[in-house]
Amino acid sequence: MSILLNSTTRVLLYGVETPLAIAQCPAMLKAGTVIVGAVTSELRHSETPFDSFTSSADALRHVGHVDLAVTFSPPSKAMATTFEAIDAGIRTVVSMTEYVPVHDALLMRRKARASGALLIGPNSTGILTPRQARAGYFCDDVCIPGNVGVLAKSGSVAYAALSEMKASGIGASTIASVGGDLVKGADYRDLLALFERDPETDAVLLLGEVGGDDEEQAAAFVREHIRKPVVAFISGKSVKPGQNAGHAGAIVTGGKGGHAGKVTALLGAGVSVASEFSEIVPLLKAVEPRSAA
Amino acid sequence: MLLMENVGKRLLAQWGFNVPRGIVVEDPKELAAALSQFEGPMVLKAQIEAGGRGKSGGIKFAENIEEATSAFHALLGTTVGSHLVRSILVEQRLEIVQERYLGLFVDGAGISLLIGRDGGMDIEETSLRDPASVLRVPIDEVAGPIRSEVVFACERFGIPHVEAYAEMAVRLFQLFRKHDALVAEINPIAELRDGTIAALDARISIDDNALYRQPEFKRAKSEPETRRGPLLDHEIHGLKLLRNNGTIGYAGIGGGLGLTVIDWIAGLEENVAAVIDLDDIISEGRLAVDMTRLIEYFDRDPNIRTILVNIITCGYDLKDICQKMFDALDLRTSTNPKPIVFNLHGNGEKAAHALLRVRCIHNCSDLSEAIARSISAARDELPL
Repeated sequence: MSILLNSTTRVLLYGVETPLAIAQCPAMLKAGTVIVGAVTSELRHSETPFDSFTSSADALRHVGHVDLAVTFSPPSKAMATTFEAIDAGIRTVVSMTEYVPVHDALLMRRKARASGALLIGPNSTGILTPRQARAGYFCDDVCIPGNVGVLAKSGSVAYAALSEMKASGIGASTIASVGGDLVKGADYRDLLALFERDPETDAVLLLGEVGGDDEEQAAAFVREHIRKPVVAFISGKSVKPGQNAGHAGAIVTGGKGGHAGKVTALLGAGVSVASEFSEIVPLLKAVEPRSAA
Repeated sequence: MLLMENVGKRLLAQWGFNVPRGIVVEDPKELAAALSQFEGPMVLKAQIEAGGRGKSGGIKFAENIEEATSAFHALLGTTVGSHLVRSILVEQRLEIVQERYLGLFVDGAGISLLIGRDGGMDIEETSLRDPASVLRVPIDEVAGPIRSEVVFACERFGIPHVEAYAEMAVRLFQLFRKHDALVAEINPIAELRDGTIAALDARISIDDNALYRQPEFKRAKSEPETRRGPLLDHEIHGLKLLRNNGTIGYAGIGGGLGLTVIDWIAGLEENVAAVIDLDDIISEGRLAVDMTRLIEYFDRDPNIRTILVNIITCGYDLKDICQKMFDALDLRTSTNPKPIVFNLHGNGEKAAHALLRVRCIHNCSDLSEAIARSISAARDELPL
């Protein structure tokens, strides 16, 4: 099994007229994703391999139920399309858009929370359930199916970790990126909870990075709510704490957000922390027997 | 984008804040004209896109025209906190009774209002030494500050004029939302001898991703940021120089992975000297051109001994990337070409790896091998 996305998940696309989406759509179809249509005002039917609609309401009337929306809209339209998808009653919205203004992200998150929808992103790399379906950039080339749930901010770090895992025969149940933006919809905690409930995920790999306090919050959440083994790696060890921080940031963080603090928090929650990237695979191998038992 | 103090203050004034009368000057002629409009004590403040000026000598006080003139010459053209001083704000010096701190910022939790009992340039130390002297109030991103909460916080700190502070908090929030600010700090906000309250500084940072809808600040940013690294013959957009005596030039996709590789190599007692995220370069179709310049730069930099190209991609076609990179390599003219280590995996890798084999280029099997080879090459341990 998997979280959020599998071979039967019905996916509606937004912003398919953007260059990124034009390249991604065929790849998503090829990966097995059930794309029920696209909401766009700029493409005619003949230009997409799936049906296109002028509004969410129109789309839902024709295709029936939609489980998940993926939006590739440009930054100036990311908020509007996210609102449109949520207003149409779609429960999971993946926002792939990079460079979304923070104030828009705040309103997107607020809207999702108020509506009970799960917003992944903005600036998510997407979700992939290997050999089943793909919503975003993660591709089957870098990984194999397996029992490790992978959570990341940065897509590139996840690609690298998945490649190393693949080379060692370790596969992933689902890979999901919450995005590296300051303000985001779902954070690690939301997705950790889903992996905890997924019967085919036996362990979780959490890929974090310095800055913010998502990793510290994830650590507190793991300690309270997660029984499956968690392995973590935090990028940015060589970034000095307080770099680029203004008065306000320094006051609030009081030294938090650095590499050491995150590692300490995760270790304190019983998470196995890879101190080097090359330790991720050995640590995942070490937890597997425990989770199978 | 951090606004210069004078731009931030102009914004505060537009939103109803009381700010000291001030004039920005860039040369002695402008200074002379400005000084004729002031009487009594003045403050001269270096206008740079950075904070901490008080501590780095960027602010000077003057009692009269002579002192102001010498303070001007002492500041102009100097470097304050690594920023070149090109303009100076001359302000009337006001009589301060009490300095406070008022700020709004956004972080992962949302928007917060900070109220500080004691403002001034030691706010960071004060807040650490006496955390109870600073209050953080979470703010709803639509409704804004609740006046009664601000009033309550002010009362707790024994701040007079509570209603005025509540009003300022509301206006600062309106400014913050309207102008896509990430930080809007007034430090100090000061209670004056004459009973009024004035914003004596402004540190307002605008979200770069929102500049497309904040056109006035594009104009306000008159000078590019002072360059701190060695100048390049050809500007390579996005290249970050780490100034650490490193020996490895890194080109890859993804900021997170770049950071990971920097950590990894540092852990093995070698350093990445310069790093570039190729993502935007590839998506904007500039790879062949920019890669040519990049390789030229790396070949010329005397400290860099090896180049690591690390691309693990899902979104792009690796074969296409390889071809563009070969185009760049074909244009390489350096008499001192540095060894290049390739680690290329992901979407379209079968075709890409075949291309690499045809050119007899070794592709590392994983990141561990790529890093090991880069370090060996940097140390001349391995002929590549």
